[in-house]
Amino acid sequence: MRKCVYVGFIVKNILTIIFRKVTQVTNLIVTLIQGISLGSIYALIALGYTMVYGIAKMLNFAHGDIIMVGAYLIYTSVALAHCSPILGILISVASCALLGIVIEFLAYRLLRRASSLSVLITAIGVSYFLQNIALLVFGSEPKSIPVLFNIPAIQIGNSITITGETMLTLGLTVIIMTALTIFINKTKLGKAMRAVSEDKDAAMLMGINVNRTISITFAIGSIMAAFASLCYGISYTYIKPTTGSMPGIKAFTAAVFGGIGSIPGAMLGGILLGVIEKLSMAYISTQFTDAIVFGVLILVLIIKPTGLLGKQIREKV
Amino acid sequence: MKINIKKIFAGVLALALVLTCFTGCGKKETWQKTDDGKVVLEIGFIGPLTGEYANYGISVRNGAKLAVEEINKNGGVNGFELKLLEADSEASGEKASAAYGKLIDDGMKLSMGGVLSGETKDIVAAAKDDGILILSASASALDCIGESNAFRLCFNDPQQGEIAAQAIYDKKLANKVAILYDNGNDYCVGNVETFTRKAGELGIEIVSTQTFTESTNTDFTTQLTAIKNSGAELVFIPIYAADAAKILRQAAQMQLDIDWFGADGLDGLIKKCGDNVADAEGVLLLTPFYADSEEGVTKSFVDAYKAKYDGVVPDQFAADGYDVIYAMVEAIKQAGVNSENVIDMAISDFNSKLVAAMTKIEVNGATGKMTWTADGETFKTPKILKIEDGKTVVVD
Repeated sequence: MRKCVYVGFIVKNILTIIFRKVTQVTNLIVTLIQGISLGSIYALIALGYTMVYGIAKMLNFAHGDIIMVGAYLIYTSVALAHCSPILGILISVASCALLGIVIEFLAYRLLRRASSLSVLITAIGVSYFLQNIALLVFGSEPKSIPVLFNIPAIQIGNSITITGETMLTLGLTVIIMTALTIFINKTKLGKAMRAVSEDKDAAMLMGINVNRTISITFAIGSIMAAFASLCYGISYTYIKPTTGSMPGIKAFTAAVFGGIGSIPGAMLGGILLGVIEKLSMAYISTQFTDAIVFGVLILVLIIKPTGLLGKQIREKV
Repeated sequence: MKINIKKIFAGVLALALVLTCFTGCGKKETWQKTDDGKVVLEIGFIGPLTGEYANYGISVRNGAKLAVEEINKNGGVNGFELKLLEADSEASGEKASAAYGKLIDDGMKLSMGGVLSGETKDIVAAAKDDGILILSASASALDCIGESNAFRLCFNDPQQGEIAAQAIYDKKLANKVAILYDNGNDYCVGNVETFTRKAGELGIEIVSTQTFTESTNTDFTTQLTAIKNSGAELVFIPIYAADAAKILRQAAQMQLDIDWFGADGLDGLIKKCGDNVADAEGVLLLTPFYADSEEGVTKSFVDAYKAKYDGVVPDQFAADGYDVIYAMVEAIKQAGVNSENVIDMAISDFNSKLVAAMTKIEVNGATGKMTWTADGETFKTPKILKIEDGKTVVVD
């Protein structure tokens, strides 16, 4: 109940600010669509952060760079090796899943019992490692992802244009999120993941292979990142070795915003963050956008430290 | 005994140190002669050759090097043989002034200043008392060439904005104009300020001014939507090519049908767009140099540069560096100094003759025809280029 009041409070405040400024409703609609499209990319990335945090209790700061790797894989397979777009996407998704597992195995598994600070530093190290590998292989010059699907823009009325890229991003996000929700709630593996995130030791006693479950979580998180890189590549075309950093930070913010560890929280947080970002860009200032976005985050964390949909976990004594 | 050995050792070291001090002091002739009787004229290049800004320094250096080789191959100028001295500034003003001192010790007679505005300012300050002619290839910030012996070959930042507004007015390109620029970048801000002022004088209406920064240069849909709704006929984009490529891509996705007008920062746009070169179709840009140009000096420079540097296409910095050397040659001819009458001349007298000659010369270089004013600014007529079928053509 309290949760709803807070969400309602924030939404109401945002809406009042917006409606005071709105002169054209169509403008608002366009901005909202752009915001949801941007937000769904954040949401896809945030899912990776939140799932890994939920299960391994660690912040995987290398997650943003998996997007960059995924984008370069699409570029390599489609633009350089001339694979079909579908094959290119499959290669990217499969390789990212594998990369997630390998990173977990090589960098984080040994630190399972180490302090969270050591794991965090390791993750930052992995992040720089990936960026520098990309810099070495592809150079610092931006590369452009070819047009994968040619979907024409839709024109509604005079001033609303929805680009094909936006529709593709939205459609893809809906499909992937539905699939993920079904996977988490209906399958045995999903159940195991939930069990491990709730209590690792108890799950182990119940015969769940914790290491394997964590590996799978990393793989799924990285698959989400690969799809995010697909959406990013479709919408923004140009990629460089640092492409993953900013979306990574924003998505991490979104995960915290929605309540880190909560899957619906990551989806909601991501989309809200995208919408807030776009609205503040359109109606307040393009310059203060980031300040506003992070200001909202601080506000939410002051009012509700666990994030919008985060659970209050009582310390076990 | 032990102490004595130490003392002797220390004494020898001290002596060695004192002696090294003297080695540099042997009275060197101001003007060195080559074996075939020419007089060596050392030109000093200082710029970032390593680090983040190295691409600019290397371009200017390579352009200058090419010009020096060409001139020497054709027998030099007035009995002089040119020699390019190089020093790395690592983009630091402090290192640049130290490098200036070192080059003076090495016999530098003329200076190319610095490549970046900041370091050039420091070099100009250090060179003030020497009276050495400074002609910087690319230091564009307004205040970096304050002294009477300092000149620049490129436009200063605000000049282009003014010329752009005038061109839009003269060619009747648009009445309603939007501006989209990086407001964290001095180059863009300087251009926009003067553009806005000039546009106001000429009666061009600015219907929308949109900004982005280095940290928000990924998603431009909000700005593009605002521009679309503002009813602008043309967008002025005094920004760099990498950002412009992204903007044009997103505008194409939005099916935004509008004209684009940029300044010399768009140099290299066709290459940056890569496979999406269709996005750049119809873009207008105002620049003194464009590598695809078919014009005489520009084309011969581009061809020679490509031949010398493994097919690398020169950018504007390289062209500026190239033109600096030819401008210096022109000043030598104008001043009437030659290998005969220079022998008894002090470096400062030699330079004051050249400084005086700078305002009288006209150079037809890779970046166009140019002249200089006494306060060090250049004037050249930039061309308006249009991108058509993935190539640039000059608009009349």
